[in-house]
Amino acid sequence: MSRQFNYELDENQIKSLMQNSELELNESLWEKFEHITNTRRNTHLNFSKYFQKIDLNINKTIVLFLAFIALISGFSSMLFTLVDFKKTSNNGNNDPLMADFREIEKQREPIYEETESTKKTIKSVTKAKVTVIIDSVNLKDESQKLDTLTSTPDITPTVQPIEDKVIKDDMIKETISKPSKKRRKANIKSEELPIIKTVTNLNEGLIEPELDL
Amino acid sequence: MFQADLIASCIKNNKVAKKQFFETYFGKMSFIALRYSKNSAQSDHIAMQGFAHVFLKLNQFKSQSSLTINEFVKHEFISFIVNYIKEIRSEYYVASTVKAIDDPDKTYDLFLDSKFIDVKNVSKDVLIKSIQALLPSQRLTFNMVVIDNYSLTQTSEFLDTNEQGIKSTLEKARFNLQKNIETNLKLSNYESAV
Repeated sequence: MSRQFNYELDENQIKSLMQNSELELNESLWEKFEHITNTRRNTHLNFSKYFQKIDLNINKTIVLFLAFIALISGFSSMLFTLVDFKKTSNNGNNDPLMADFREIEKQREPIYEETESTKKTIKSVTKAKVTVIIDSVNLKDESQKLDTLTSTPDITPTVQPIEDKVIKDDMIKETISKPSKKRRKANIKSEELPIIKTVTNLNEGLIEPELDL
Repeated sequence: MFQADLIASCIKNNKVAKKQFFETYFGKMSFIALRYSKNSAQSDHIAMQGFAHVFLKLNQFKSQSSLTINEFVKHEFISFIVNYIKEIRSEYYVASTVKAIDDPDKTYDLFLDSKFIDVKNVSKDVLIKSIQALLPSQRLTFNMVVIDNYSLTQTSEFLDTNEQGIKSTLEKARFNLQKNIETNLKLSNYESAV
């Protein structure tokens, strides 16, 4: 702005001129206005009629403090979801490049499900073995006995039922599943060898022949 | 019809009452819209929309309050205009990037003419034209502070600025308005001579 500027406007005059004046009305203006209000009413839904305005006079510092707490708690909860504290790091193989052998062994092992049918077959097999042993007792020939013991028993329906036999299962079980005793190492006394005195000079005690000169 | 009855029937959407209300207040409001807007087309749009806004706000008017119905209508109308101009602020940023090409022989030196320009006795049309030629912020500030008697604090609350900013804008508006008036007077004198 220039320093030579002199404000020459009479503001009071302008004010009175502007405040007292108004534009002329037309009928077309009213029609136009009516059209606008009708379209507004159709499009505009005033929800303030149905819901009362809620005015909460809360201090700005409190709101900021609460927002800050909410932000921190949200961030920390997000971090807790990412980190699992229950896992122990030493159980598994942490190195992703190394193969976990335990899992591989587990996969190799055949999985048997012990069902009722498998249990029955195992029982029948044990019973059949028992009968074979009993029959072999009656045999006099030792060789035959051995043959029968070594040969796999035929599990056939001709095998006599176990109830007829005198020998109890417990005895047989003992014979079958006797735990092998650990052999104790015998305290063998080491053989004492006679001490031989080493000869330092092999020519000791020998009379050297005089040289004939 | 009394004012209270008129307002009550307007709220009830009575067509006769609405028309009477329109005839009473629309002339004044449309003139306010004219001095707050940049041209007549914008003023027509603002007047229609603003008056519809006033109709919607009529149920908030309380007869016991300090404001009369005239003041209430005027206040609601001006607040609508201010919000409207704030919303279309982006248009002015776009417009400021466009450079107008003027006649190179044209000069704006006001003291070239020896004819004395009396800015104190200005016609209504020249004054409206000069106000409309102001920048939107200057126009709003000048209208609110000088013509509509709003205080600096009220104006700063309306325009979301501080009082110091309003003061400086007002000074700029006064300077520019005087220049505009001088230019428009010159133009009108020239046109009348031709």
